Amino acid sequence: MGEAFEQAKPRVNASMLPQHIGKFVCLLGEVMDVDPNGLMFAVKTSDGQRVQINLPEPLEEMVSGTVEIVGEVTNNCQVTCQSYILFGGDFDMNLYDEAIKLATEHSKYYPLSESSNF
Amino acid sequence: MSFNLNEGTIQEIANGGSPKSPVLQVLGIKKIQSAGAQGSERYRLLLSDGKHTQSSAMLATQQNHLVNSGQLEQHCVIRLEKYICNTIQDNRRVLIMLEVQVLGNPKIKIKNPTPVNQAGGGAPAPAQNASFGSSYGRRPLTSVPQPSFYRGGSSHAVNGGMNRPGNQGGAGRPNQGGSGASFYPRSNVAASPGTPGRGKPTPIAGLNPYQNRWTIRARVTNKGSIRTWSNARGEGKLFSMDLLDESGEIRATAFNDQCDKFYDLIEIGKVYFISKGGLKTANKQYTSIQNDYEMSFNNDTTVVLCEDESDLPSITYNFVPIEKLEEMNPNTIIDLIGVCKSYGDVTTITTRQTNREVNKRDLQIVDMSGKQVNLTLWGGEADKFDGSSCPVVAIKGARLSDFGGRSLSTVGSSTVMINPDIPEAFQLRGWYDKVGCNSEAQSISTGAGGGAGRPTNWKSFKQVIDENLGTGEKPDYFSTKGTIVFMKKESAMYQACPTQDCNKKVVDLQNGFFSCEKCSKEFPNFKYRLILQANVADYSGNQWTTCFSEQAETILEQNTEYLGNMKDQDDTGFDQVFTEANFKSYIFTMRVKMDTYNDESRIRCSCVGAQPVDFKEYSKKLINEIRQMALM
Repeated sequence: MGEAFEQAKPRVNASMLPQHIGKFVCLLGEVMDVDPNGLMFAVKTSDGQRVQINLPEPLEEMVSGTVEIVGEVTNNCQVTCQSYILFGGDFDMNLYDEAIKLATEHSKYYPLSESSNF
Repeated sequence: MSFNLNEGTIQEIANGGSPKSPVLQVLGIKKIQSAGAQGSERYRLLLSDGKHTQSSAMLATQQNHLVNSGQLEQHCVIRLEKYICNTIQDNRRVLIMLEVQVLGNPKIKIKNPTPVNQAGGGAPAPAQNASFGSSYGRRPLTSVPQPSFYRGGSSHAVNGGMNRPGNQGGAGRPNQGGSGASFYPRSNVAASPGTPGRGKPTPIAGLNPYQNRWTIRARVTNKGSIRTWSNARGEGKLFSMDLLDESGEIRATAFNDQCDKFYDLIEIGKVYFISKGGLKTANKQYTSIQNDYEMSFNNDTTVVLCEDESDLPSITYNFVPIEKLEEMNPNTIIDLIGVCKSYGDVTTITTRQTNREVNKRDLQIVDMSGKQVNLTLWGGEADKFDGSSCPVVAIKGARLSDFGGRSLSTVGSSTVMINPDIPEAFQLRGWYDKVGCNSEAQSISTGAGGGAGRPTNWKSFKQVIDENLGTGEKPDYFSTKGTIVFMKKESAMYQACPTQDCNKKVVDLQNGFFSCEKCSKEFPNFKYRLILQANVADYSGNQWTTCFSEQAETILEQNTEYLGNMKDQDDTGFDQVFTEANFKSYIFTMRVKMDTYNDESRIRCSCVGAQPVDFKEYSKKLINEIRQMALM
């Protein structure tokens, strides 16, 4: 668990997941449906795809709306949730998607903590 | 390259015929400046078909651009795709070229044409007609007792028309003017008032003050509301309308009795036969209509609805690209089309002259020139406008002003159309959805004087210094996202004259009275006013800025009166307000201007607008800017 705090957690959308298999990422999405046993839920990501989020422990609250998940990307491009935060209100997913795409395209100017060139 | 001119066609036209798409050569172009009217010009052309020349040929004003752009010059060979022939009072025929296609320019005069024999006026001599008819050995003369438009002339000229027998069978019928085969053969003969529809109406482009028996068939493209006036000579009322047919447009005004009589009858978009009325030189100051004359209705004027209207064009526009506006004179009336990129709320202002309250709304319009201009809608247009879907807006007759750089405003006679059904609108739609919505347009209007408008001229504080903003004669306006980093609390408020609209600082007489120098009065009270010196920082630098009441209230999030009481009674509360206001960000609109005080020049920066940051809007702007930079 402590691992997640030591490495960078880049913000990604669903189509960037394959490049991050086995790594920790930060994924934002709208909650689509929640499994009755509370061990997983699905989100619609900023690029409009469905991604399954697996939980180590059952959920203890209602999850809905915009949610930010930090977790590890599994081999089948699901995310094992390490922590999540629920956001309410007005959030523009399209703009967010633009922003993370730009950050990836221009990684020189948007360095992650691991890089030392900034 | 050689050109074949349609020989004989000029004679045919002169005789009342209307050969289809004749190919002719332009031998000369003469600009005719209309008297008095500014900016209006027409071109008169000398045309040749290789055999004859026709000097009474006018280019319809909507084709002026061909000459202005240099496409149509001397010796050009053209095809007359669309034209009409108008007979003026002495039975002279004037050719009006509505649609011209330039085929090429051989640079030399083709053949050696001679002037055509114009119908000279007066009654035809039957004997002469007969002799011509018989000499051709063709059809016997029709016995229509109409005045012929062809009279006299040498047989050579007539033969010119005859040498092209294959031409639609209509060639060389010199004697049949008025037989119905020609285009507008009887314009001012048959179309007498009261019998509209019989005979061909006069084209609008052919109207002039020297002729009073005419009927036009025109579409009403705009109708103003009734306006009243009152002056030394009495009072009255009027309304104006714009009329349009294939040949051109004209503005018509109905006064008093006519105003009552016709106002309810006339509907925008409908077609009417209108006959008789006065024509006078147009006052271009009030209209963008391209006509040297304007019409006023009088007692004899008749207006009859025409049901069959399909062939008449609907509203024509003379759109000016936004980038051209800067070169134009203020107060010109122009047509404009663009996409409404953003818009403000309806605000109410009180006019200085009449003390009436009017509603206005500011729009930011962009077009394919990549420029942006402010457009102010007034009254009803302002109320009903909805810009949420970035609609295409076409305005006919907007007034160009030099207020804040260049801006546009609707006037009483302007027509505003949202998403009009015209090709330009679809073109713009396509452009905006693909390109325009993602690019930052450069505005030719500076922040609207009061600063209420949306931010347009984005500059960082560093850019303001690097680009020497504020050092010119006029103040410069710019917008930036800034954060308040420090405020001078002690000098933020002053004691001002309590008279409404005065705001002058009062002198405390230390006896319970306060004196205002401006009003030369002493008052037992004063009112507090805010004048906040704030240090605003953005990513590039920081800037001391003066914020007046409205903006200072926004920044401090309290109203002036409340703050004034606090300042006197609750020091800690007053401090608290300033502490809380620190480090908040706004979209600032600033005014910078060089100021000289005690021989020392410095740039003074005052805040004319402080709006909470709209993060979505601002993100969009940043994303666009990053995209732009990535391309470099």
